[in-house]
Amino acid sequence: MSYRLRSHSDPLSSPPSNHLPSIPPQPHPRPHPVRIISTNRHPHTSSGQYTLADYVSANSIRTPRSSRWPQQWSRVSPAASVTTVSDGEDEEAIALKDCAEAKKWMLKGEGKKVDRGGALGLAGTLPPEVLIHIFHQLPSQADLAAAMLVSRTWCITAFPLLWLKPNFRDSEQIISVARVISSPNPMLPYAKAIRRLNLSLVRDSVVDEVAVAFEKCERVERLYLIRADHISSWSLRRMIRGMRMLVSVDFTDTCQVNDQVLHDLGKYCPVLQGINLTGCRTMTDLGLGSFARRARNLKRFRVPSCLRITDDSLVPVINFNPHLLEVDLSDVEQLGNVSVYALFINCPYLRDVRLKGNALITDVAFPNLPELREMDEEDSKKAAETLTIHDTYILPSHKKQDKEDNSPTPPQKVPLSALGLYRPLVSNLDYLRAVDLSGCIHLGDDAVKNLVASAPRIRNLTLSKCTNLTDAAVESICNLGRNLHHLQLGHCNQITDEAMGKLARACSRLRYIDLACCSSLTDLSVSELATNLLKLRRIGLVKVTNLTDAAVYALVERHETLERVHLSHCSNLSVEAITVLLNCVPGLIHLSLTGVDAFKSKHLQQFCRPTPEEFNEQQSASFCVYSGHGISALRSYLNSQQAQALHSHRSSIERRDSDSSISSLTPRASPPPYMNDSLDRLDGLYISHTSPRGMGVNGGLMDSQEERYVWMPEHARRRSWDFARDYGRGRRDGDGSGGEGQSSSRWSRGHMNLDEMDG
Amino acid sequence: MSGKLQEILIVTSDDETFTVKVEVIQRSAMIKAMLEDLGEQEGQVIPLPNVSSSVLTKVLEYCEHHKNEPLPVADANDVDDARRRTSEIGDWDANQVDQEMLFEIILAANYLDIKPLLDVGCKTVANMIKGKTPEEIRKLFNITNDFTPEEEEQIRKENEWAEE
Repeated sequence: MSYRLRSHSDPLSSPPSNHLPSIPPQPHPRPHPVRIISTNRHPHTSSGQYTLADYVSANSIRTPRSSRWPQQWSRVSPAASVTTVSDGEDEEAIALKDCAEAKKWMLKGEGKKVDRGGALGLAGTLPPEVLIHIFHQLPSQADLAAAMLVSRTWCITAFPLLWLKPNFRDSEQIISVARVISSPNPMLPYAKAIRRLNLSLVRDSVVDEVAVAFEKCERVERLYLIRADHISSWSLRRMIRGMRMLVSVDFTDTCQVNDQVLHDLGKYCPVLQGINLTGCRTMTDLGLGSFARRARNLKRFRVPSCLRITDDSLVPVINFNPHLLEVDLSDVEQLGNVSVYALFINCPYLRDVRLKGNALITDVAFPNLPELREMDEEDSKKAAETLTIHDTYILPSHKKQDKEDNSPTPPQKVPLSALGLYRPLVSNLDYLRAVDLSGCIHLGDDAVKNLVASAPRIRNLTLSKCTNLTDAAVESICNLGRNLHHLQLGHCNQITDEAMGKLARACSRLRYIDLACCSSLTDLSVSELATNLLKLRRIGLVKVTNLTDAAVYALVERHETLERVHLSHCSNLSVEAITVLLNCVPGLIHLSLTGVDAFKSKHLQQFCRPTPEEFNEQQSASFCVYSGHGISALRSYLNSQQAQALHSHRSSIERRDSDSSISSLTPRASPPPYMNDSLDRLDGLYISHTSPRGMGVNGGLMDSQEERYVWMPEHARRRSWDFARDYGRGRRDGDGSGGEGQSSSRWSRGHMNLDEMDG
Repeated sequence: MSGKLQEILIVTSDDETFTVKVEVIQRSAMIKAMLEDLGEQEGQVIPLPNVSSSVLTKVLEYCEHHKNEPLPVADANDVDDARRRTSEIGDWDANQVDQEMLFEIILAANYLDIKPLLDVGCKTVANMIKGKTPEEIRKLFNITNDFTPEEEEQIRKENEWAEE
């Protein structure tokens, strides 16, 4: 009830008495100037020409084609806010402005009278925009500091760049800067020059005394204060009250960000566009609700792991900020369907939505936008009927008018339709590219169906641990077609080979697919994926326990693109198959084989990455992940072992056949234990294989000095010959040097090479 | 710009007249815009009162050398590209010019709005400044120190955090 009482007035107007004596109110700043455009780049034109193209490129959103946008659109104009800060050119424009200001400031003291006669070189007379351009290319802060001491002109020209985004690496630096900006008579307006303030690297030195000094930096646009544990919420509030131009703040894991800080952010930072409150656990609905009453320009909103916020404050935030592009509501334990529904209805520009680990959301959270657009008013209202929030943080205008008396009423449940959030602004979220729903354990196939229908251009889709999903969900995903690049379906163990086959054919541009623990899948899925996904770079098959060597040989088909292969706990795999994979996939940089029985050997594990420290003995015994140099080391080791084994095997055959003593000339190497099985099956299937590195662009088959000997089973060999043929063809098309005939003959006459090796 | 207009005349500050191919000189965004404004007339004369003939020669050399590269686009996405091109100071730039000429070229590039040339010039100067003390820089560029000793001391103190 107390919430209700406070929400009528300014909920935080009277801070507890142990806080600072109240900060005198400062006049509200004008709305932020839209964008600073360099006017000095064109000396021949008196004013910088602000063309439409500039404008469009300044906006991160593309200008929509007017015909496609409905009437309602006028409610949301894409031009309403633009990103202010500040890269490259813009930094120079800012510096130039500061430099002009500093000129007045510095000339208060007249300086030493110097003879400005003939002695002045050209460098002394360069116009400020050129000097700034030069200084902008200086690599370090120290160089800028040196330039400042050259002359008065250089000083006022270099200082804005040095102070624009000061780079603090140790505590002495930040304490020194805090001292300078809080000193009564600094030589230059340093505090005002700071536009970006990153205190994350010196977070241990950010104590209240230091932080408060920065309240003078009234033009800071970006503030990064990550895991600052030593700062109190009152000094944080003083900083915020000073920095009224803030465009973006990042308070990740800064536990002092409480409701009052949020309230101040809403009240004093009218142009705030990005806010990152990851892990700010003390914040509650009270603060976020208060923030939501004023924040109107948000584009990036991240509140993962904010455990105490609920739909009651999230829906108002979403309601008033239709420009949202990136939203992260991961692990917001109390998040319900209503927020997600409101988000999809109200924010047509969404690009990136993360809802990881929210166990409360169900299929209801995902509206089918095209269908809703088709419906008439009443039906779409009805569709959102069940979704309600408490009206505590909703602006009075949205509430039903109470009776005259101001007596506090308990929070009422209101449906989304009371906020106008029932009819979607657009029928497609055309900009939505990334959606993370991993661990939303109650999602079903309908959620995926509606999501895909509403956002047909999703590129990255993460559905790991959505264990209810079945083949129907995968079939919906197929509708994303070639737009889909990354897909994670780990632990969706109801998915079968049939759906995978469809997926592989529909989404042929997939580069990254994760199917960990999809225990129903078999070699067939891998084969389909490897055949159809021409751009496949990474495949995760951890604990897909049905897989056999056939899957590995199928993967070889994607030898040109594959980089990362995860096969941990696929216990049926053999060393030979992996050897083939290593030799045929030149770009491989990561291979995980933890828990594969064949690789539980000291010899093979010697090349793998160091075991993570937190692993217990059993875990480290089976840990087996190769990357980088480990890959090439393993490759050469396996090849040498294989060659040795073949050699001794062949010697024994010869000895048997000829009953002579020739073979005793060569030392007999006993094959490693894991080779024994395969040796029994050796039947003349040796094929020579060029160095995988040489198979690429310039190597070609014949150019490679290094030969590899690989044994392949029948079906894999057939495939390899296809590669060989393709390579040969590629070479012939490429440089026309007739390596083809030779190479194919070498591929087919495997035994020849063995003889070469003997010699 | 249709194929008609092939050459224009440029008159420098010291009254020399250059006949220049449009294809070459349109690296200068300023002249390109000017030609678009003036319309296409064969033998168009453009006076450049801020640029001397010796500097223009160098600038044209640069334009000639780079004429086959795509014109820089006024697009934010292109910043990276521009930066990359700047970092490799090309072979044209390797034939060293003296300091006086370097600054003249920078000024001309700024005036004519030839961004890549301005970038290369400024990068060269930045490389000259890099790692030097203030006194060395003054000496190098013949700049007079017009600070009072007190001012200089204060500035030094206020910015010493940046010196590593």
